[in-house]
Amino acid sequence: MSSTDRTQPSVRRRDWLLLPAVSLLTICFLAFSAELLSRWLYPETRIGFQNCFATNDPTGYAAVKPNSVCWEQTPESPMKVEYRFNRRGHRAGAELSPKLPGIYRIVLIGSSLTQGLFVPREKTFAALLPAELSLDTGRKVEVYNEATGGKFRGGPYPMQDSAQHFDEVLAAQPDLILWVITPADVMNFGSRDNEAENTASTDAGSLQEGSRPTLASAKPRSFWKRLTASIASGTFGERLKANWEATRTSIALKHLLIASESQDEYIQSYLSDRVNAEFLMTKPDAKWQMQLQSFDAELAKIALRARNAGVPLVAVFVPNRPQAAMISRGDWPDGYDPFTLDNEVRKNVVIHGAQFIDVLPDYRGIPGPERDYFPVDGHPDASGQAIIFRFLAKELVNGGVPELKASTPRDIAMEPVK
Amino acid sequence: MMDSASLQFVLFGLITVTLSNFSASRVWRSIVLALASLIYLSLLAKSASVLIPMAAFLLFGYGALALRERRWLGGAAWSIPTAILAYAWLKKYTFLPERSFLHFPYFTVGLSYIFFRVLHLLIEAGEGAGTEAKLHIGFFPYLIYTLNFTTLVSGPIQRYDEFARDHFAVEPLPLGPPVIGLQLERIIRGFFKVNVLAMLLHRLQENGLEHLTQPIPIEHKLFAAIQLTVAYPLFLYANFSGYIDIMIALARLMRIRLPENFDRPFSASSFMDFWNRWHITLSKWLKMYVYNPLLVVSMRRISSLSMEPLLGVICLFVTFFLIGVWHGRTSEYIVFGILQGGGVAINMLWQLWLARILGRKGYKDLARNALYIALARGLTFSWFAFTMFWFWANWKQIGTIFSAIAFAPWLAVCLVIWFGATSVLAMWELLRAELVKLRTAEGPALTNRYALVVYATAMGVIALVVTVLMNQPAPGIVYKAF
Repeated sequence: MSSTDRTQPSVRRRDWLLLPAVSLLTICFLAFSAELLSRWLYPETRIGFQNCFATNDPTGYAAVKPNSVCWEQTPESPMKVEYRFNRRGHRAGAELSPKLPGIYRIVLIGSSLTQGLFVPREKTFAALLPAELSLDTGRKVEVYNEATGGKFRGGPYPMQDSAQHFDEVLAAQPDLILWVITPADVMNFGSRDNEAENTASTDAGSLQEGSRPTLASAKPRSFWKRLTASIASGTFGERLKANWEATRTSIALKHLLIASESQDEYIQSYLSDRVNAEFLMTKPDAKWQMQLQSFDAELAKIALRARNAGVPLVAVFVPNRPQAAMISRGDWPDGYDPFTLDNEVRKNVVIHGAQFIDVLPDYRGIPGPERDYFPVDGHPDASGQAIIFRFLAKELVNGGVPELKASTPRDIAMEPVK
Repeated sequence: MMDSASLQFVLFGLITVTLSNFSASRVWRSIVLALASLIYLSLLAKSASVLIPMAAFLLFGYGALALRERRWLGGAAWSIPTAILAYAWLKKYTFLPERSFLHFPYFTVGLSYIFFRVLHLLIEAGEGAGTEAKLHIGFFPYLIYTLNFTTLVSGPIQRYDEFARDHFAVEPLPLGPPVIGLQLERIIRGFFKVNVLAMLLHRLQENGLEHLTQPIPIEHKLFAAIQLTVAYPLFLYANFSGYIDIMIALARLMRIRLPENFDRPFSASSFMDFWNRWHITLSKWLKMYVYNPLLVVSMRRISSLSMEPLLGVICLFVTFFLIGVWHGRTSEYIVFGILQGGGVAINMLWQLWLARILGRKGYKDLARNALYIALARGLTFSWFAFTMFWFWANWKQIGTIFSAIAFAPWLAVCLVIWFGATSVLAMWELLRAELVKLRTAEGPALTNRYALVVYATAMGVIALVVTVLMNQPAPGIVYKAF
């Protein structure tokens, strides 16, 4: 290499200006073209969202407008998904009609996963279950999806007042209430309500699950003032990171990087972030236990109301992406266990007199179930919903619920739908 | 921990470089290098006690060197086999009895490269060595040569005379803006290779392995087998050459020229040529201290002219077998050594056979044929890629990989890789030749300073986004383990 020679080419005076300028231009070009390419490859479209959300929601979160329809394509979803809500504001596919004799009605409660976020309704497990259950049990089974969580209500289910609003669930005349619980429902329980109490306004534009409603600022500040203020307060790094994460390039890169990870690498990298992975720890920390207790308190209220109404409550815990990957792999690092939260929830459900069906062990038989979730967002995609449907159908008709016992035993070794 | 090609390490290196350049004095630069090397070693080792066996090896090396330089104790010829045995014992090679090993944790990172440097000094200090080697080497120069943090973990293997020429020069190597610019560009390139390219290629390999062992259709398995086989050599190249780029550039900024360790290895048109371009300093070291003496000794003993080519083949086999075996202490590496030695030996036999049946001119004509070169290049890559299974996998994994699909599909995979590599590498060589032709008045257009600034900026931004903002961990430097 010429650099190792004792004779060196000189740097022209103009290069002291030109070279930094070339570098700056490269950064600008790279940032601009990457964002442009990401927006093209990972488009995000929202049509008619204003139709679906009620403004001035007293809870501080956007609520669904009854009889509304809107469409959305998130950067990770392959298509535009329709969200059609009925008169009662549920994504149930049809209006709730009076129950006819001989019909066995299951009312589904839960959060965004149960609502089928980012998945066409006809591909959600809620839409697939009735036909399968009717076929297996030999009786007409109806499933009414009352899931209200997620971005279309602003948080996980239950919220702090879910038990108070349980009349709505009972009004659907259920023969069985099926509650689909996710790790996010447990781990985020409580934190949302505290925010809601402290928040007076609603940020209707900020509807992503986990997003924080922002207080309206008195008046907009200039870029320079915001920059100097964030440097002075030491939050510049955080702001920079937050701005970066708001770009489509960030989502596209995250999507590509997470999707390119092997199962082992994905588990390792997920567990390296201890804050995200605390629910997977064998020994829950104080915050973890507090959240579980808050969840349990609401669970107790809901179970009591169901019992008083004489309706069986069945709860099922559905794994998130890292849990599914760990269970499928069959081994995990010391100090972690994907079944910890499942066991805790099961224990509490049973204590409160409800029934628990366990689908987590079924994930052992699936190679790479993490591929059936949106890598960045973490919700199951259509294949992931299909897997949940198969496991739920299998467990429901296996004798756990006498009214749904299959007329012939099901083949429990089913191949996953891809 | 400060990994060998992490951002923390690069910053550590750049701080050392800055301090080192505060003065051109040899003493100052030596003190900075020594302190930086000790700090680096202590950051890697974390505890002083784990360094005792390595320190003992270094002290033994210096003692033996002093004896050999002064021709005491009959020139201490025994010190060379003793050093080899001590190294094998510290590295716990499985041919030694298990109970003889030290049964407490100790630090061995970089020991292989220290061993090469110590052995080189011992050999050169012996009788018959060149005059420059007869100069006595002081303990401090010995320490900063053997523990130099830019060559400690994974080389490149630098000769002492080259190190001393630059580091102890009265007038150190010049360091103007063009040199600094080029070295910074090389650091960024190396950082990008290790932390972005190698990381992505490693993921490809891991995914290939995962898919190959899953119950999926055969066509997907074939694809996974190809992905697994091809991704690893590319990953290893990005990982190792990226690390070497960072080290060479940091050393140059400290006014030391380290030898190059890679020269576009996948452009090699034969397996022998490949080893002239891959881990160059290791193959040069073994050629100098194993192949040449072995050939001389065997030719002295067997003086038949007709046997000479065969002796060359045998000596090559032994040399490259040792290269393979050096990489690890388990039986997988013995097979790896046999495959490396076998590859080189068969390559030479093939050349000898062709020269005999085609004649010298006929063979030369064939060796210049573009199609022959392209096929040979593809075959070289494919052979190296397949031998890599014995490099990174253990017997259990190797068994799983080869039993995942039957023999015939594996044969198909081999052919696809060979012809695929042939086509892709041929196209790359053509493209490269065309790109090199693009010139400005100052030289090749795509490597002028403006173009280099563009590459460096782009690679730097991408690498920082991936490592800092996205916090994506890259696999460690593979050769750190050897």
